[in-house]
Amino acid sequence: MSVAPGRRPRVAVIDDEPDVLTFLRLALEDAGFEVLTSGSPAEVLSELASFGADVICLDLLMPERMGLSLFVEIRRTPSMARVPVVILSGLAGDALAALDTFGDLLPPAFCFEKPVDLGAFVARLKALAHGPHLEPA
Amino acid sequence: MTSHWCHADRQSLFDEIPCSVVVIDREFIIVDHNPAFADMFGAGVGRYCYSHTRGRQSPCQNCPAESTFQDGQRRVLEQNGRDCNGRQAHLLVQVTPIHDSGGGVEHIAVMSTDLTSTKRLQREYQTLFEQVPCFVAVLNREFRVVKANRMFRLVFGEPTGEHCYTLLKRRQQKCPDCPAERTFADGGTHTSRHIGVSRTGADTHYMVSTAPLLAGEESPNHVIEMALDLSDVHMLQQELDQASRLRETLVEASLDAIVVLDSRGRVRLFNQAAERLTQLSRDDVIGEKLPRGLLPTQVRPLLAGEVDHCLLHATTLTTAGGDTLPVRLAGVVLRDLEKPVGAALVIQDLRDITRLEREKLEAERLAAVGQTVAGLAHGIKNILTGLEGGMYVTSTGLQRGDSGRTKQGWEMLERNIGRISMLVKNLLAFSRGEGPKLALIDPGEVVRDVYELYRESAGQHGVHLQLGVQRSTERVVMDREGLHTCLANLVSNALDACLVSGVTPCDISLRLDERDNTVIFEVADSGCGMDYDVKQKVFTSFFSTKGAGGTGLGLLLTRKIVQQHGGTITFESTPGQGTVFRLSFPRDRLPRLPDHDHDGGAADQGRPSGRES
Repeated sequence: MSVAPGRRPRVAVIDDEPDVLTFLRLALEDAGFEVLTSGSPAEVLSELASFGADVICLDLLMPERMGLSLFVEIRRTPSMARVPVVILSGLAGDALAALDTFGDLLPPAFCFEKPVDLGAFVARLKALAHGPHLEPA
Repeated sequence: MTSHWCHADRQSLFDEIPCSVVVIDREFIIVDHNPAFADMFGAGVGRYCYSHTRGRQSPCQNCPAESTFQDGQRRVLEQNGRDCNGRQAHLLVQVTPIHDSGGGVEHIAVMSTDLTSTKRLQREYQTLFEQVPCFVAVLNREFRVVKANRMFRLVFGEPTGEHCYTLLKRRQQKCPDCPAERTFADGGTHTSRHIGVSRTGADTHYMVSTAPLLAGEESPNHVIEMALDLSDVHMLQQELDQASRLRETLVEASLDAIVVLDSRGRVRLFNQAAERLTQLSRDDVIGEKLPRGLLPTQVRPLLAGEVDHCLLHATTLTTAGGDTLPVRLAGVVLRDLEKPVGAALVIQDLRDITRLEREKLEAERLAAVGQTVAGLAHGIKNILTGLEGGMYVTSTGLQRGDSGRTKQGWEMLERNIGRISMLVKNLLAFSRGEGPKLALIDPGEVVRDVYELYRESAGQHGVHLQLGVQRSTERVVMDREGLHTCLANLVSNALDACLVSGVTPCDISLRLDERDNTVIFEVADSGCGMDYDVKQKVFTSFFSTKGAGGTGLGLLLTRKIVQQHGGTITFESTPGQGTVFRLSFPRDRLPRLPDHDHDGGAADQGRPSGRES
């Protein structure tokens, strides 16, 4: 699922914070990504599937706390079962640790804790978008 | 020897002798009789004796007179007959030949003594002796049983001359305190208690009385001994003693004060715990009234007999030293049949419990503060990200001379700085502990609201949301919005748990119940459940909140709201099976409305009573 030559890497950012979305859309576009942003996890799934993200950036803790469900739904969608997911959260460490317990699903590739170090974040997304990804043991 | 004894004397004796005398000849014809005979059978000279005394037409069979006419022998026998009034008579009959000068027997005198009443007494005595429901035996001077009644024979068998002590006590020698011995010695009646051995070997308790067989005998040859088996009475007595001792021990060992008052309010029972609690000595209060003001006034209706029992979950007691202690008091009116005879009070010292409760609430509050800080940190991080984004957008806008972008970035900065100040306000509000907005509400209605709120979206996710509301749940004083927030949070959690589990159909049940005076809200899901690690983390992270949006603080807020209502939040969870969250609100710990505005609404100043620190 790596990016074909000549195509910009696609990243989907899902966060309920409009400012965070604006920030990441602009910053990631500046870094050369094609960006899909969504603030509503409830409606994003079909959009995501047709977008064909190379990497998905997800805030796990949204007000309706649907981020967790969305992660599971992404993983259950065959086309996205193995797309690298980066968690962006205020409490990333705990979130990732908890996600480890969810059975056979491919866990998130990485967790970034807010406020995010933009340089490292962009570099990590690029690396993930271009694969190849390590399969979990 | 000359004698003045003459015919007149004989005639007088014949007339006065206190038994009936009749003289008959060989034909059985009455030739003479005395007045006593006439009293019994009527005058009958010249009549056949069998016809006159028995109404027969011919001589009786086996007539003793006939035999005496033949052999000249004197005969004594008992006979049953009837007198002239038809009364059955038991007679002692003596048949005596009257010899004539030639030595022949031409006449016979028949003397009858009426034994009817003596016989009746004998029969009555015998019946009494046999049937009396205790052991009766006649002892001779060797203490051998010479006669025994029916009950004695039933238990000990037919006496064959055994000693009384062998039969009753399986002893080889006379008992040292033998009442029969004393009766033999002084002819008096003696009574004492004895322990014997039954035929099965069990101890048998007797009340033994002895009396001389013949009244008035000074040194009697026979003693009648009566032994009453008191074993059952003795056993009941022992059981009663035991029960009484057990009761005393329990009352004394009780950690709760137990006080019993009689119908006039005087203390009848006052255990050690009551002494400790009230600082009164039982010696000072037994038989007296309790000091005025010691018991809470709510007990008065009970003491006045207006109610049968009372239970005061949280009241106070004033000690002799003037201290006011928190106590729980249960009282019940004591009745003898229907008539009230007093009241019993059980008073539990709540000092330790109150202190522990306070410490627990404080610990919970501190934990909640810690978790709030974690939640707020999360909110702050989002704002920081917003600020960082604002800076990035502003600076890249400036670099590129893109005024639109610069403006966009500047707005982001403004907005997030605004959020910081709101967050700080929220934090202050949380830590200050703003009181709930209390009103008398129908808990079932709130549960149904939350159900309606989630039913549809749950259905869309393939989750079956069920509602279980106990119809009779009475209204409660609570913050309606707060309760709604709590339940919405829990249902939302349950939905997530179901979605994660992927189990279809997944069930969530939202229930309202009341048990033991406690209102219980329950949200149960058949979702993924939580293992140990998740359970730990759930309380520090997932159930936390973004904080800044002002939409609530997730589980922290839930817990805080529950706590403000004197309730507790608990959960049980099994990985792969589901989770149950339970909010329990004991009614007696629920906040009270500040005034008696029971229809609720205007209760903005309403605070839970004494539950906040």
